[in-house]
Amino acid sequence: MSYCVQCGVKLEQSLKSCPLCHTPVINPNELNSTDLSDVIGPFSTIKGEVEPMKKHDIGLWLTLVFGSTAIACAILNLFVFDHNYWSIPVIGACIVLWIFFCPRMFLPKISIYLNLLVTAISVIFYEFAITFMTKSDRWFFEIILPTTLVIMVLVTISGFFYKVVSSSLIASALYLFVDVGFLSVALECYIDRFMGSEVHLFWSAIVFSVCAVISIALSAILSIKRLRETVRKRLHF
Amino acid sequence: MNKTTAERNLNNNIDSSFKHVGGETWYPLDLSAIVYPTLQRRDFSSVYRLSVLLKEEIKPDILQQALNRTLPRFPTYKVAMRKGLFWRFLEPNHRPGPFVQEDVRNFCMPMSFRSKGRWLIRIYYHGCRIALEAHHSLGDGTGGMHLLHTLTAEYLRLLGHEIPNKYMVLNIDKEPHPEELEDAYMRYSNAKFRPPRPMEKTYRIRGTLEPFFTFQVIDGIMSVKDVMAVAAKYKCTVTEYLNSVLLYALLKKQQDDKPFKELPVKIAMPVNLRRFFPSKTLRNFITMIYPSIDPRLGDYTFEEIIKQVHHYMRYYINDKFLRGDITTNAATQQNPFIRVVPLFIKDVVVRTFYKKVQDLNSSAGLTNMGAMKVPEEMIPFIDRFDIYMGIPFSPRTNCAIISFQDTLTINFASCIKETDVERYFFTKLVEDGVHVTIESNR
Repeated sequence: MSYCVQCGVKLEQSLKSCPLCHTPVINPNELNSTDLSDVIGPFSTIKGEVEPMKKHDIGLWLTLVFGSTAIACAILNLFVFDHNYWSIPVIGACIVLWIFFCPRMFLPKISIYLNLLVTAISVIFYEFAITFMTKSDRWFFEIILPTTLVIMVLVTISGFFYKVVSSSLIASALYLFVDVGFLSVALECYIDRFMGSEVHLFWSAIVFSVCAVISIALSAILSIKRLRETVRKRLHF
Repeated sequence: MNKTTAERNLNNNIDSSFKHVGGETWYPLDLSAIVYPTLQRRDFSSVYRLSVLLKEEIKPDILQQALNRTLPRFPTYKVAMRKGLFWRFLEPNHRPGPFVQEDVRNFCMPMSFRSKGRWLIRIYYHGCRIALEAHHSLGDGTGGMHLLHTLTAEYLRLLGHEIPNKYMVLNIDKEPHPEELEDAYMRYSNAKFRPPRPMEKTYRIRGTLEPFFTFQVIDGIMSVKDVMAVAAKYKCTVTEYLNSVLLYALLKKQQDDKPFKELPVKIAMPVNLRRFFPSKTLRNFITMIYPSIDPRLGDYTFEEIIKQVHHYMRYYINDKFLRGDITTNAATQQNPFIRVVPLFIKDVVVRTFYKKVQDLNSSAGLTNMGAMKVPEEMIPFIDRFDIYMGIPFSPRTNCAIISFQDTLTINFASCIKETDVERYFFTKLVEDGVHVTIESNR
């Protein structure tokens, strides 16, 4: 057994470094017998497999809630309040919510990108269905469809960064501000085009500038480890 | 309260602590246990671990026999969790098992109880160690320790040793006493005033999360006599001394972080209520106290920390304050409006309250199981006991203390990479002249 030269504690025989300060253990009397692989430690070396949590019951419950809402509205619309197709948005919302939440409950290994793609397609169909309740479908093709596509692309890219690069609070804030900046620019462009006027960035330029400044500050915090740790510690998050 | 009233209260409480359904006994979760299943996450279960280190290598087949003979004596541990419309229940589990298994490195793994018939205890062996892991819904450390002691005694008996039933070793041939199965909180939640819950944002250790699911422990082993001598030097008890050392370590850690605004440092410490309110229950019967130091009031020396902790403990740990605390907690459960709310809504509300208020109310957890007493005939076979509070709900460090004969063990459990608090804690002990031996799975 050795002592840690930094902490002054005695270390159990199988430890190669002090778990408190990570100082390597070097016993001058035992320099020739540094192989500790034969020493049996007090803890098992087998890694236990954590059982995946089953969410079937939550999935079933959500299916029941969305399904019963959609069916009840459809019946009411057909036989009681039948003056217009008011149940279409409700049924569509139930389908979209089911597609977003439930596949992951039943198939935990499903790709998040596939889930997002299917959700986006369902949202587009849902929005298109609403055009049947309005006089014109121009608003759908000129504003809603391109905006939905932009949101889908931004969410997918942010999701990728969230999953692969960093999921910390600061990183999530960065993704959010970048998304809001780009979305505001795209939205003003589509609105101007829909109104028949020339594309002229005004309010979106202000939003974009604010988001850009915040994003640059957050990127700086994220890229400098010392700064990141200092911000986390000093602001208690 | 005269003896007849006390007996009547006990009988009423025992009657309400379990229900007979179809020839079987179901147990509604006790007051503390209600919270634990709501906090269940993919990477978190309220699982604690108790272990005993014997002097000879464990024989798994004998241990399995001992478990099979012991578990029926503990009906509240031989259960599975069942969900009702308004509350959860524990129902008798007749499935095969639980089976003893080789220990793992990342112990205190989450326990899924969504499927029917899942066991809420695990028994492990490794070298000379027998370890019991139990979901906190079943009982607290004292209840679990009764099971571990009885199991160990039965194991030794099967090896041919004579072990009497004494202290925490229960007679497995006897039926359990009804008082062992009661929800003792309800018997004592009768204060005339409900003191408000402490709700204050405290300093939180911020560290790098270990990968899913890594459970890091650092055990410090030392002599009880050494620690008692140091505590006597500071004119306090061992618990007060170790609490103060942990507060000191947390204060140092906060100073290192150099926050713009310092926050109070607070420890969540469970108190065993059996010491103040007579009960034989093997279920949960604990409440929390929060010794704290507020660095915004000025710099504290270690002696001042000890003085603060000493007076806090003297002031709060008595039957009056503790009864008030139990009454506050019980009032929520007994509220008729809350009783009729469906379980899934209760789950959301409790989880949110715990996450936003309760969990932010402490910087670390510390529990002291005290000195373990076993029948004299068992002493030669036992080296020491260990206790782990399990993986913390949020990234921080939990500390658990237990002693046996002259061996005091301090077990730190954590899910973050940094070990600053543990380092400050143990180096302070070394500075005070305590000889510490460290074991770790890091």
